[in-house]
Amino acid sequence: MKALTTESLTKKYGKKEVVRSLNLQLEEGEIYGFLGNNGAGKTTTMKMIVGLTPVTSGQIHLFGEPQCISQHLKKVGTTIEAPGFYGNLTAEENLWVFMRLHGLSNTSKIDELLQMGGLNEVRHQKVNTFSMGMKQRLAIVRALMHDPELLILDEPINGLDPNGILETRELLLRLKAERGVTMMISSHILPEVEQLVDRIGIVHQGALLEETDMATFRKKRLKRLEIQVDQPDEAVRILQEKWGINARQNQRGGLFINDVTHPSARINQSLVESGIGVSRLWQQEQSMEDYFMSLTNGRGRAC
Amino acid sequence: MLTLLRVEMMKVRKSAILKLCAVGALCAPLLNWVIALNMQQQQGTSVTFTFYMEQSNLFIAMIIGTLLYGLFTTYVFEREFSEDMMKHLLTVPVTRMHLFISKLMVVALGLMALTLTAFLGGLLLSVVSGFSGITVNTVLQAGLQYVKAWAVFLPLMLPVVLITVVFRNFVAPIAFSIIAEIILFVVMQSQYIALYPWAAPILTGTNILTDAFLEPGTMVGTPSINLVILAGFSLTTLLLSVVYMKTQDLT
Repeated sequence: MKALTTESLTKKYGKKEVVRSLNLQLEEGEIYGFLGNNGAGKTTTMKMIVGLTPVTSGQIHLFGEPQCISQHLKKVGTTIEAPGFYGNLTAEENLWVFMRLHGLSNTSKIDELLQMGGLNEVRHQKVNTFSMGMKQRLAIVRALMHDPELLILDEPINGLDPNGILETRELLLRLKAERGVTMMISSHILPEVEQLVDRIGIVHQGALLEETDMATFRKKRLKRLEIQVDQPDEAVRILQEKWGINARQNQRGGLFINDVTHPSARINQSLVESGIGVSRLWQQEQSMEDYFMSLTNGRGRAC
Repeated sequence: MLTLLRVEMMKVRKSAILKLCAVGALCAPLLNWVIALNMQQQQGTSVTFTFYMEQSNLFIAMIIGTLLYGLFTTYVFEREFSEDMMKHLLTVPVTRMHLFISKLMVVALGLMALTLTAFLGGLLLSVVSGFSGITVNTVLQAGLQYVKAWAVFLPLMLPVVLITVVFRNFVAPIAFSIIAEIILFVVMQSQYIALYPWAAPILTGTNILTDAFLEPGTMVGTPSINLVILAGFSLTTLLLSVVYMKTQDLT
């Protein structure tokens, strides 16, 4: 069963269409990376899914049924945009507020969540003294308060230090492995998303450009050969003459070849035999950022 | 609903706003106590408990109530916006109407606590100062006046609620309260005072009728008409607030 599907989901603010006929599908138990520029419509889409913003047109199905907020939000945990808390309340009190609102009374759940978020030692500290990373972790564990089946996390690793990113990634992967929680995660830290998600959806100007699983994505990404040589101009000429390869020079005096069908060892050998000094030769995979940039025609500075 | 109310109460209790407003509410009995002692000294006669409590109540109705209660109401309704909490609450899910009603109840209880603070402060200072005429009957009469003032202040908070949820900041509702207060000072000595909703705490909540400010018999309308106008005005703003809360993106 699909945890979430959207059909022709559209949102307009006045005449401006911020989400355009979006069709998403989240399988149960998967982590879905939702990528896009600032203003691409990620947060608006998430807000529509959790009922914070009315849908202009289209449909949302949660757990195979048409969206019914009062019913479905019992199974959905969210952090949308910045993690908001009552600043003058402690971490424990903030969780208590949400525990009561969820109709839960077992206070040991708070201990468990604080432990899970690595916040046990600061449980009596007011949240307005917390760093962004601590707030993010508290927001994630707050979203887990009612043991949701689907987590909608908007930029959950934004503002985290490397340790925080690592801890959050481990936490999310553990949730997936141990509880089978389905997650939809938007993030601008693309390498982190890459290490976390099973599938990605790339949205640009409100429309879905691509939706693919990570295995396919890895295959699709361009690979290229980079060569560091002492005579780049001569090397370009030799590669053209001997292999028919159109090598290009980069700004650091090296070369790169997009056609990786030729064996790199043979290319190296022919360059050395022609008197070219080769100091480095390696095959590089297009990064997620590069792939994203190529899809959005270079307008994808930050997601 | 009760859970939501309990949570709202806890949030207010943990904040400094109630203590701050309680200090503000105590200004009324305290300042009037200073004035009363001064009067006693100058005129050589004892100030009666009833007169002192009426003056304190008038001070709240006319001068500090609109601003003080407006500040408290704004805090209760604005907090989720300033702390970026609305989206987190609404995805619990807490329904918008339950949240709205629970906040109105907190405002009612908070205003009652502040009224009680002013009343008890006045009673304590009266006893300590030995003001004459303190009997069970006069205490109950004074209490009733304070309750009446509280009751008419509640609907006056509904426009403040509307402005708070629409503008989602402190500035607009506080500015509105200040303007309402200034207009009250202007219409105070006008024959049209009964047509102004913010005159209700004075006309209904105090025993001091407009005769103190106006020539007898010149007032257009009656305190009852004033209450009808207040009810119509407040219900309209309540309705607008409900429609806004239900239809608009609050995040």
